[in-house]
Amino acid sequence: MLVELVGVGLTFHGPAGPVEVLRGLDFTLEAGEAVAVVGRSGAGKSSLLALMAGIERPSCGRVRVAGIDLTTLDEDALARFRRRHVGLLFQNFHLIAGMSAEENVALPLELNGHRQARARARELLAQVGLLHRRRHRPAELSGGEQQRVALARALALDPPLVLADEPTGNLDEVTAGEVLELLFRLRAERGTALLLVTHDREVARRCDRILRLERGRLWPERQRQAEVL
Amino acid sequence: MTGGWTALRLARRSLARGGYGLALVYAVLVVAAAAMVAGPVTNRSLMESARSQARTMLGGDLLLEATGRPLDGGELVALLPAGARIATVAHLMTFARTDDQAVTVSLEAVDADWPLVGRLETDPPQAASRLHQEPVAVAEPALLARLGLEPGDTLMIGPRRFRLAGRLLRQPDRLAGGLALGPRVLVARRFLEDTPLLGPAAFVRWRHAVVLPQASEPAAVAEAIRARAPEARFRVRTAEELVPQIARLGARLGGFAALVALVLLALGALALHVALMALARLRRHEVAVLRALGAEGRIIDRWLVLEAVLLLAAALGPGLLLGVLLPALGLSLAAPGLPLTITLQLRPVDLLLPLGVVVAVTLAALLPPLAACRRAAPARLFRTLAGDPPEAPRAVRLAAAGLVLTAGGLVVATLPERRLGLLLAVGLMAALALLALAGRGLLWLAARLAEGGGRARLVLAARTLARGGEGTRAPLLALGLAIALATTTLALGERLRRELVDRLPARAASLFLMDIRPEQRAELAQLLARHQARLLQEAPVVRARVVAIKGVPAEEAPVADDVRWTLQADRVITWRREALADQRLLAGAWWPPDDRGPLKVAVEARVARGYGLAIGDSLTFNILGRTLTARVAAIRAPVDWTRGRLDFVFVLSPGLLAQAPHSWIAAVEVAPAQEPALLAALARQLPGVSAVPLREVVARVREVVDQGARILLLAGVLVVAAALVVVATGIRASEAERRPQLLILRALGATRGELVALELLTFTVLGLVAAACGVLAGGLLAAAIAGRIFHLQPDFAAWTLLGPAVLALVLPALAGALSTRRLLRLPVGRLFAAG
Repeated sequence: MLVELVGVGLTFHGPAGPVEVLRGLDFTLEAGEAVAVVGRSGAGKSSLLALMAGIERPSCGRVRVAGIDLTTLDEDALARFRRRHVGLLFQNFHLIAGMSAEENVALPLELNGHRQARARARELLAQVGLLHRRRHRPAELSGGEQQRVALARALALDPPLVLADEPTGNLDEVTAGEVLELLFRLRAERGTALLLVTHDREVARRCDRILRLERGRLWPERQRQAEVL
Repeated sequence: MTGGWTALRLARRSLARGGYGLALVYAVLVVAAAAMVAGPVTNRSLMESARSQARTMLGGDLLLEATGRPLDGGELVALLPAGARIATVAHLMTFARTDDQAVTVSLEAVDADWPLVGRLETDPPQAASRLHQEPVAVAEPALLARLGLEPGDTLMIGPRRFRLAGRLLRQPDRLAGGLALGPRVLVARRFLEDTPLLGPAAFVRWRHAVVLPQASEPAAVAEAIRARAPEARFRVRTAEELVPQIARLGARLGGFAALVALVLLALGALALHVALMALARLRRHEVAVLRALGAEGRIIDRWLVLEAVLLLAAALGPGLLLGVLLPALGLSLAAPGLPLTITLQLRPVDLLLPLGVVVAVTLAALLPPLAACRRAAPARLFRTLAGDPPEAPRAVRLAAAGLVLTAGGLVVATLPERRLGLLLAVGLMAALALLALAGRGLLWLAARLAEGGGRARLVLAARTLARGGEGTRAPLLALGLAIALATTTLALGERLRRELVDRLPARAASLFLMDIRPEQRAELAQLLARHQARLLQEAPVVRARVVAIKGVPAEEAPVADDVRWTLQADRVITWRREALADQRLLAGAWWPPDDRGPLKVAVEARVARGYGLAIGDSLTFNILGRTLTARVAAIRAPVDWTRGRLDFVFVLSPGLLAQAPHSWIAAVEVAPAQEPALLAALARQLPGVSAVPLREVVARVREVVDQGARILLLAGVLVVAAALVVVATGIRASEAERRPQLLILRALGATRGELVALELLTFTVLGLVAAACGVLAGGLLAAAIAGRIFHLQPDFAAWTLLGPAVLALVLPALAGALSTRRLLRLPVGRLFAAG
């Protein structure tokens, strides 16, 4: 089991009072498996993803990834965990504005002390078809190109788990297809597990399982329909 | 090592990217470094130049001064340690004459051993060595011009004829003789020895300059002399206790220079802090991304610290250079009028101290955001990108505050002007507390206004301020502190300038005439009438010495330090039947005009306070060898000695004194065109009378004061410029927070004009609060410093308080409008992408 969430709750405390996003959530993900999480906006899909990446801490419950209990780690240990185990693809890319495409992709490699970081970054850019744009900064790239650079960055350290938040949300149909192709090719080649947060039915259908996040918990899509019926 | 290299690579990359924000941070760092160095360097240069030249200016390690007759060899041997070298100078006011003209000169009749310290500079140089070989004189160029003389011509001084050997360019101990009351002329004393000029009746100030043997400590020797001869007729001074007027001027300018140095240091530190905070804010998105990608805290720490250090290293060079060039420029501007040669002094401590502050402030500025970023989960860093960053743990915030306080304490502890530093530090902390309170109040009020509804633009501005949080408080603090410091400097600078300038008589008498024998008064009156001169004031005078205060011998009486000078030599005292028309009495009453009772005295208020005198107390004088005791009948309002009118510390009732041998002094007004002819006639017809050309003296003092005023102005400009930089940086740092709202409003259809107006309103409100708090804090601080350090009433000129207030209103609005215009110039799409 690559990912295991047990009784996870997440509550945000804001000036207007607490907001409970997740409650008593259980979830598992096997190595090499592809799971889509769907749900209404504000349901907590991105937060769920952040919990699995260790960039957010649960209010209660346990999050285990690759056998590591994330709730026991401090921020630096979480950072090291992410480097080894997780590739992150953000909805709005979060590329660093002042860096070129190549520098952005090289970042995780450099953080990991990779000696040939720039050469490896160029290889990755070539894989996503953007070698010719390697010197360009994010502002000079289209949305699809930025997403592909972000994908190359997420895959830089060959992680066993890729967490993608709306990987096609900002892209046109053709570009979205290209990005998905890349993701699933990777899964096939490397056995990478995928957890995709998406609104796109087509994207969800390509996954092994579809889960709906509702009322703070994950429901299998068919199970939920059965319950409703 | 991996972390280190990665951090270095990140820092190098961030710096190489540059950008407007980074350029501004860099500019502020340069200005901050310059400000922090310029202040201490200026202060050091002034103080060290004065200190290093004090011995030369005094003429030796010690100076013994006596009026009337010199100390003889026996007296000097008894007072001074064996091996002391002595040179004697007789200083007097007299006339230098040609056949048809006369000019009042400051005559210095010197020994062959003179000068013991320094060198006499003349043109031609060999003129100095001829002084003691033959009856020659060297004179300041002004005298040659006034009498139309050239080297080689002759002139009369008293009954003696001297040949002019050359021009006097620089007399090393010229300050020891006090402010020259006419062009200086130097002659050898032996050529005047048997003339009435140096006779017992002449008003001669004798200076015995002493160079002590190596092992002797001047202050200790001076103390020993004072202890051994407390009632002596002479005064002893060390280089530290130079001419009082100049010392007072120096102390005030010196004190002010120290204040400006501290203010610039504080402003520099503030600018540095604001700039580094801006840097930390600039990098917030990158930090969040890097943390999400797996960067550990130490990599982020090293990266940001390295970036700050590299930026600082690049800024320190130009900053130091600028910090040295500015004082050099300022001092060269001020130099011509100052009585000493100022050389730029660079001491490691003046560079190390700001460097220490730089390190402390850098750590204090970076530690909290770094600690907050270490503690916060990356998701939180992303969430807070458009608002306040996560708060650092309380311990780190306290440590940062402790660092700044320690740096401040270190600065105060190493200052010679510790009290001033302490006052400023306490004032700054109070200002900070006031501003923090005002910040909270503003946020609260803005939140209420935003909720309450009303005019749309006002509500939007209130909402901007209320939501701003740290983005509202930080510029308010920076702006308020900068305004407080600018107010303190301007108010005090102007107050000091006014203190100096106002003390100069607006319409002084043209001449003071001294040593007028009673029988010469009638002839003097005729002579004045012939030259259309007017007698403004005249008074009979005798020389007297205070020998007992309330029956206690003067040397044993407890006397305040600031009036001790009145006991150290003979004083000129007068008597008067009636009080002057504008005479103000603080206590007691003037004696009746026909008073025939026991002797009474009216004492000037400061001296009365220093002596601890009250109405009815006794004061005993030695007048011409006789001891006379007077009762204090009145205490007069303080006399302003620089008003250019005749006045006295002690005014006695007539009685006995009117019959004593005495002379008269007079204040005379004469048209400038008539003055040379009047002086020539005085020299010819009333040879014993000496004249002080007051108009000329006032002009010379005004020159010095103008230079001082120029320094004050320059200091004010520097402080305001530094404050401007702080404000601009604070506003630039807030752009990241303001951008999303502007962007959305623009996307929703707000015009550029409407958005500029909205921002103007927001910044004006911010400026208004900063102005109120800054001017209040700055004004109170200036009042405290004026009272406690400079002993001045805090009646500040209104513009010095209103000026910074207007500045606080206009500057943020202007800087905000410019910043808004820049933000609005970018296409909306680009703003979204960059956000």
